[in-house]
Amino acid sequence: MFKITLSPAERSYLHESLSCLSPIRPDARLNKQFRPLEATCSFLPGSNGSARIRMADGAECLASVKAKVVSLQLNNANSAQHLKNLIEVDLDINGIRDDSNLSSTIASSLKGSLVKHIPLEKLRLTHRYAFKLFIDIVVLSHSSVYPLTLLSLATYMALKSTKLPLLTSTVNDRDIEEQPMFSDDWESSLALFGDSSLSPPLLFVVAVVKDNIFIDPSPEEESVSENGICLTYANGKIISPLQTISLSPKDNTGINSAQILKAHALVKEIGPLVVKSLDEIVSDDSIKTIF
Amino acid sequence: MTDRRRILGPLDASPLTFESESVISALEGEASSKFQLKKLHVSQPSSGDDKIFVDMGLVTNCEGSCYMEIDNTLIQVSVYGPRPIRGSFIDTATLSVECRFLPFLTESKEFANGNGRNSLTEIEQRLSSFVYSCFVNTIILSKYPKSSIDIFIKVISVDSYDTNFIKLTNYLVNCASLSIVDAQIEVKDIITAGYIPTSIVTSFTNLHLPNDKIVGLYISDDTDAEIDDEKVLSSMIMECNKKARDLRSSLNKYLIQLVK
Repeated sequence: MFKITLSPAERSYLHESLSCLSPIRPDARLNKQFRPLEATCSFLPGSNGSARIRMADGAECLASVKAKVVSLQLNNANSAQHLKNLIEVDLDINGIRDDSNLSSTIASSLKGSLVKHIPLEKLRLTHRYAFKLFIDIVVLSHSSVYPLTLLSLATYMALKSTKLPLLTSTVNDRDIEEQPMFSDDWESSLALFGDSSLSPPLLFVVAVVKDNIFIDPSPEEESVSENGICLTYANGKIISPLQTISLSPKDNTGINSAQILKAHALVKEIGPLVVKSLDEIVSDDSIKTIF
Repeated sequence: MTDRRRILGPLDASPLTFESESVISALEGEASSKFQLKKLHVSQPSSGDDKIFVDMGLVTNCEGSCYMEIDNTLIQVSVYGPRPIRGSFIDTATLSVECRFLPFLTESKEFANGNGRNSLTEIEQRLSSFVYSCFVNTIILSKYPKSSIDIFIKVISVDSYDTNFIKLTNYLVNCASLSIVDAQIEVKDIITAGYIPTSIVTSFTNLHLPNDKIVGLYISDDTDAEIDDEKVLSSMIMECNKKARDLRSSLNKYLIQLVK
């Protein structure tokens, strides 16, 4: 992460042009336009699902999903809690300590939104055994203060491309304990999100400057923004968590509810488009560029 | 190389002495009369759902502090700064917030981080970063170049262990706000927080603008509210804002009473 230091004149110029009625972004993007990015899917042979996303400015993120069979110590009272434990998120951001505030806040908001939107019942193999998903995310380099959008795009694709081997042994091991056996043919594996009505959540960070909302803010835009909002989108809906974040320690003014609603509408508008283009990459398996 | 610095206590530390019986009883009498005075400071929001006990300036070696009691939730916030920092010049103050639960509160498994409590747990980090994001909007940091303002929050006891600590987050902001006032740090306005079980809003009334501004919003991930619906979302925000405003007016009353 490198720090953008703008002179007062540059800051004021940028802030003015972003707060116009029809805002002008430094790279001439529309307010709802992403920077070009390159994405690859299922490239790690050792994991069940993986994704890699590269931004034009060199920011890069890898996500991998690994499934491991674990035995469930079940007593019905807290089975829901047990199922929640079937997802583990591990986050490593280059240049930031693992126990730093940023890294742990991002990891917890990611995990919180994932638990509700992964078909946990699909992870359940038998009465005694289940898959546990280990989601490892590495941000190799990033320029943004809050690389959550990048992270969540990579996680989305990794989860969408996750395939679990087909169980061949019996499902009912209530009486006799039996080690689960799997088909060794990957052609017959099941996609985690195959026929599910659920879809992994996407988290978007938007920057607020006056009455304008900007998706995918560049570091320069972040440094003059008045506030940031993090919104979660899944299954065509805006869902919780929703929170404000501070993208720059300078010139913060707070926001009003109109701006929150505007950001809400913006993410609702672009959400389906992002989902569509990411899904295309997942189904096509070849490198693509999305805008 | 050995450390040749002398280990010194705080500058204003006074040596431990053992008083005679009569002095102790006199001190105790004084303390109890003080306590009665403090009891008068109980402020009650007009909405009437929480009774809050507030006391400011209890901690003497920091610039400002505030102690708050809401039922069994006890919070203490101390503010250090603005104090000068070493190193190169920066044109604004840096703000840091650290929130810690007292160790005996964190026996529950969800708080334990398993490595001797050297680092903050996930929940502590989340609370710290929320309070930070509220105050970075409020404190006029450009007034204090090359200095740092540190807010230390201690949660002494928590009433209810709801998973996301929405209620607690709300109290933390209010308590930190009063300790900022006590530290006499320049702010745009005093902020107060309002909450409904699933979300929290902190707002401040900016003197230059007619409407209330929101400095921090958090809608937790275990809410069932349909925030996809804009009307639901805006009514949630309105409700929180109203609560924050009610609390604001009672805090104002309290502060005025304090000055008198």
